[in-house]
This record gives sequence, C-alpha cells and structure tokens, in this order.
Amino acid sequence: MPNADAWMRAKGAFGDLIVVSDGVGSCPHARHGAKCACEAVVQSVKKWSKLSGGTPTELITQIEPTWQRLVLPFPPGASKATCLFALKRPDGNLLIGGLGDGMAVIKRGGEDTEWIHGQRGDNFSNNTRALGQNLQVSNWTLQDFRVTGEAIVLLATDGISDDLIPDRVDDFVIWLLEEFGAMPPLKRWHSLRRELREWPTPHHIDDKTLVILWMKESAASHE
Amino acid sequence: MSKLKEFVVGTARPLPVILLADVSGSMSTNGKIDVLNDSIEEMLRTFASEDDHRAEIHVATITFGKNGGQLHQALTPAGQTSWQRMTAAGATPLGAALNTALQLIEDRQQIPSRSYSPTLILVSDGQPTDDWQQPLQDLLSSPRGSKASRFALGIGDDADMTMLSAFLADPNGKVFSAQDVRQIKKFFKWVTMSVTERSRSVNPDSFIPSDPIDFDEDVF
Repeated sequence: MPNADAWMRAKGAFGDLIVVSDGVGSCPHARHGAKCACEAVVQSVKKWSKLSGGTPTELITQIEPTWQRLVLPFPPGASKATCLFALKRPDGNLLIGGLGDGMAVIKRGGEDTEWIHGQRGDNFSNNTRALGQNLQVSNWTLQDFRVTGEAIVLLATDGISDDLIPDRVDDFVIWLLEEFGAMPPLKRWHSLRRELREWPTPHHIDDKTLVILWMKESAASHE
Repeated sequence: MSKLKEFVVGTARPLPVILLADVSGSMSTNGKIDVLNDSIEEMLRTFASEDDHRAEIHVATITFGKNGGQLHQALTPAGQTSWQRMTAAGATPLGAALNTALQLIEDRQQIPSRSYSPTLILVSDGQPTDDWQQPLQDLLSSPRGSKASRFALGIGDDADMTMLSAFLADPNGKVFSAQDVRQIKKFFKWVTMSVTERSRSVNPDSFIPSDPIDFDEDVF
C-alpha cells in the first residue's frame, strides 16, 4: 500500500516548525490528506504569527478550515489525517500540538523524556482522531513551554509510537541523539531509514515517520 | 546488531477475541455443546494457521454455567492454545460472565493499548438467570468495552433475542439465530472469516465484517 505519512519543516520569521501527519488508512485519499495537513499547519502558523497576541487556541482553530480548503476537490471525510506539530518561536517559547495517533515527546536538558501527546490510555491501536472529523479545539493536545536550555522534541507516527516500550522511550530518544545526531544529514537519513525498515516488531507494515526538533544550548541552533 | 530491539516490543499487535459461551444444562441437549466445542476448536485451528497477518489473534473463552461466569481459557495467542472441551450443566449466569469479560478487557497487562480493539462473541440458548442488565451496562459504557466489536448467536427457540440484541447495542447489528446445530458451525465460520479478514486488513479497526445474512457456507 502507498505510504500515507507526510512531514514538513519550515523556518521563517515565525520560528522553526516541524509537522508530521498520518493519513487514516481506511480513507481513499489519506496520503493527500496527510500532505495537506502539513501544509495547513505551515500556512496557519504563518498567518497566526502575524497576529498581534494570537493565542495558541487561535492557531488551532485555523488549522482544520485551512486543511479543508487544501484537500479539495476530495471530500474531507475521504482524506482524514492526524496532525502533530512543534513550533519554536523567536521569543523562545515552544508550542506543541497534537490530534490523533502518533506521539509528541520532549526531553529538556538532563530530564527524563516527557510525553506531551500520544499515550493511549483507554484507546486501542488505530482508534484515532483526525482532521476531517470536525472536532473541537478541546480534542487537541496543546502545550506551550518556555524553553531555556537544550531541548529535543520528537514527533512520530503510530507506526513507531505503538511499538515502543513505554518505559524505554527516554532511552530511545537518547539512542537517536547519540547514534545519529552527529552524522552528516545524508548519512543520518540513510542510517535511520535502514533502522526503520528493519523494525523488530513482527508483521509491522505501518508507515514510520519521525522528526526531531533539536534546540541546542545556543538558542539559534536547530536541526 | 541494532539497539532498536531494546526499545521496541518484539511481538505483533494482538487482536483479542473473547468468547462468552453458554454452558448451562440446556446446552447438553441435541448435541449443542458438542457442536459448539467442535466449532470453537475449528476456529482456533484456522486462527493458528494464519501466521502472515498484520495482527496476532489472541483468544479467551469465558463460560457461564454451573461454575458461574469463569475464564475457561485465558487470553492466549491462537497458535498456542490447547482447547479443553467444555461441558454443559447448571444455570445461565450471564451477568457473572459479563463481569469477567469487563475485568479482562480493562486489564492492560493482558490487553495492552497497542492491541487492536477486541471482538466479543456471545453464544446462548436461553434466558439469563442472574442480574445481567447492570453488568452489560457496565461493559458497554466502559471506556474500553464500548470500543469492542460484538457478535451474538442465539441457539434454538428459547434463546433470549432481546438480551442478545442489547448485547450488540447496535441498531444495524443482527443477532444470528441457529435453529439447528449445523447453523452453529455456520455462525462460527462467519465469525472466523470476519476476524481473519480483519487481521489481514490495512486498518483492522476500520474493517467492516460481511453481513451474516449474506453469508454463504458454500464459499468454504
């Protein structure tokens, strides 16, 4: 089956942005929906950043209508997609948002990795919320942080998050940074792709996408 | 060797199937319990032989009869089960069986959150003899129980079809009715087909089983 994951990064006056989306597998235009989800977040962030004193909630309310416009001519119900994003703003604040399957975690300095979005609780695999379901802002996870020292945000689709051992997520993040962080970008991409293709869980066929926003000690440096 | 294995679960995502089987005394008549045993055994063999699935099918059986509602077979991968035949005697304590099912569904050690949503199958030939309405309400309103797929089979004229419909809790759902033992086998073939097709599907939690009315035994 075609890959239904999408991701995007953008950098500008609004800050540094990463977005990950997973098209809902049962929808015929899932991949298109996932690509549009990434684009919708980028467009919404650009517009929102120009508002004076725009709140994170105001940003979230722009994403679904922007996405609904972008998925045309396909119906939103046939293009449903999850949405995770992290935005490091020029003022030093970090905004993380999430809707549906997948995970968003943050590791600050020497602290343990903290789940922001994606712990299933009472849900089962693939019981997901998504763009295209006309959900309320309250269905989103939304957290605003003041980041001072080094911080790492990891966004990943459920092809990764559902198979991670919950109490080994911190070690997983450390492994990613230590094993791949210092590699040149192309070598890192090839090495990571090889690891994800050789994913150890039997019968795994889910798409796997992970994106890291690495805010180093000197606030201007990001990867 | 990659360190990734240290952080990733080494087993396929489970697809739990929980069977609630009436083993009251009335099931001992007309060969019903024997056919039910044979049908479950055949279902387990089929599940076990399907090893190239997106999900690994795990099966548990809860019986309700003279020993109350008890776990007859713990939740186990179908390929590792060794079926112990059920015997029929006693009353029909469905409420106790529903409570046992709820405990199992809410047990995150046995059914982790990475599982696909469970399938519940209720088979009964009579009227419950204990308070079943509240346990059913508890199951249907529980955060995890409410997400389970449900199938129901009524055997014979004495089956409580109202109760079985309440178990489905779906206005579009259909209770399968078996007037003879041959139709018990047919029901289990349909359930087996629905579960195996679901385990092969791109998104097992979006899979819609075929309508039992359309089910044609000749396809097997």
